[in-house]
Amino acid sequence: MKNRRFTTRKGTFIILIMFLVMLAIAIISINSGKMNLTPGEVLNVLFGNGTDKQNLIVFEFRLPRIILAMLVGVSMGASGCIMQSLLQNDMASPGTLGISSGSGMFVLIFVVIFSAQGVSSAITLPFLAFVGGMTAALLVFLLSYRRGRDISPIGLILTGVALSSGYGAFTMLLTLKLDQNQMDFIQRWNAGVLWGDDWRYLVILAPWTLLLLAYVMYKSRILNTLHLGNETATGLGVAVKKEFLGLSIAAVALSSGSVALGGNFFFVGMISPHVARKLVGPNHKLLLPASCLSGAIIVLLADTITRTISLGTNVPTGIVITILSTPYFLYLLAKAN
Amino acid sequence: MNCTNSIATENLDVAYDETVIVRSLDMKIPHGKITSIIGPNGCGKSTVLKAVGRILKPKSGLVYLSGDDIRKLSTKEVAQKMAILPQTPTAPRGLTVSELVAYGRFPHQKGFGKLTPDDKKIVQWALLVTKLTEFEHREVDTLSGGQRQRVWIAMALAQKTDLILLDEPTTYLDLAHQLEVLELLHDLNRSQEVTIVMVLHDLNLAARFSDYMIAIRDGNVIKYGTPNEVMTTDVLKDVFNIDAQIVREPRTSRPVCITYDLLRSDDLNFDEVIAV
Repeated sequence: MKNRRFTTRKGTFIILIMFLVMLAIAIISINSGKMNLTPGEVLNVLFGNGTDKQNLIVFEFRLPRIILAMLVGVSMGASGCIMQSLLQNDMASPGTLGISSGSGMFVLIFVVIFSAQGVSSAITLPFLAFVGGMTAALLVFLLSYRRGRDISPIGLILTGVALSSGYGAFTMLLTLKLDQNQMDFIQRWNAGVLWGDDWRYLVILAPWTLLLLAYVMYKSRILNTLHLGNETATGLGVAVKKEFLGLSIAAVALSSGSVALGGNFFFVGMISPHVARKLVGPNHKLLLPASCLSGAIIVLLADTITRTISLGTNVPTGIVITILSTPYFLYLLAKAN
Repeated sequence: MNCTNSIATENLDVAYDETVIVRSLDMKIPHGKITSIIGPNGCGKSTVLKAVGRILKPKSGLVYLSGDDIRKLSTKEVAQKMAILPQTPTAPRGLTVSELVAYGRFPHQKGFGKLTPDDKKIVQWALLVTKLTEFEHREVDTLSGGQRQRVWIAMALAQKTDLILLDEPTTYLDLAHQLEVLELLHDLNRSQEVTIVMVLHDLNLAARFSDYMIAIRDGNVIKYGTPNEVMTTDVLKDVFNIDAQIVREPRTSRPVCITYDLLRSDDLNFDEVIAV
């Protein structure tokens, strides 16, 4: 008899290892940067015995950035995993429903009307990015809705693609009117730069992400059935319409939250579930946490690299991720077929 | 609302958008029997099955499940009484046979849904009767078509329902595997008294394995009855527009269609058509 590839015990063990890897990278990340701190110094700071300068570096610069990176990775990983299962499409990502282009457009409109550096932008900008993402996704749902019919994954994907290109065109139009400063900001935002690393944002983003995660984890059994297709799920007694909607709104809310503070990290949302599926298999009770952790590891690792290795000017983290993970993704796809 | 009926429909209309597929359908599925729905492509036979299985919402009319109005039951309650197997379902890559079969316990679980010892026993039973025990740790997508179909049937069995609906369970299977699947359903019906309703394409297999057949055309029941009553030259002419020759098959003494020709509309002679 063939050995079982994925078991619950093995999966739980792998998830534990992933968690430890994430913690290890987080610790390394606190230690490293333009100013190196030794692990001892970091420990001192965490226990409240650091010098003022060390405190400043750890608490005001590195820790919030690390937490943001983890939150963004976790929510992209969860959101991507939910999307791929709901839409039964391995190439789906949180961006499939137009969230990325939608929030991008809203951010751009704000930047065009006001400037990115104004005082009001501290709260308005993430808020708009969030609203933009949610609006885009809701619009996709409204437009693909047919009375008396079931939700069709293909319909959602196609509407998402159509709307995305519409937003893209409008975004392009606005981009032509930008000055150099605005242009820089938008380009970096699009590439994925963890800009919202400020405790003020994190105290909102963290509970938001954790609450939604708790909800989707609770629904992991439903996700398992929906992954078999809407008809099979109905046969098993799942209220497909309600659960599909609830889960996709949760996914959209997760990614809109992180896109608001982190920028465009949808590629993480696409590859994390693939990595996770390879490690723990298709059961969402294991797949969801594994996907979250691989998302967090990817973003954190890329961000640590960005911060420590000087790659010329401030390179957006998203770029590093794309460069690092494209070959791996291609490898996964090649092996899958 | 006869309780010996597993399913009854009353004046059922089913439509896709504005196109009405099934019109005022009255149909009865007797309890504990095998009933096959037959009919030409696009006649609405799958649509009927989906409407009965509450996958499609009917435009109007009623569906009764063992005497209860199906709309008054929660979808979970329905799933405890009726299992559905869609046409060619797909399993996610990497899912093992026993995991998929365990999903059949869904309608009986609560909360996070940890499998109870009872659930595990039922899964083992479902694997046993479908002869899949030795494959339980194999991944579903590595199995052959016939084995995979048995896995899905095992999942439906794990739901522990009195009624299973199947939409063309023999699609894409070769002759031997078609027979294997139908034999399995037949055994389940006889030994566990599971009521089976299926859409079948193959008339002869339908006649061989069914207690009752329902012939549908344009969303209406043309003929309902035993295979002997449905498999007649007249009925098949009405339903499929064919001129069929029916004989009694020696091994099972069931009716079979041994050959058939297409009937031309309004009896146009071929020579006349050429002449026109």
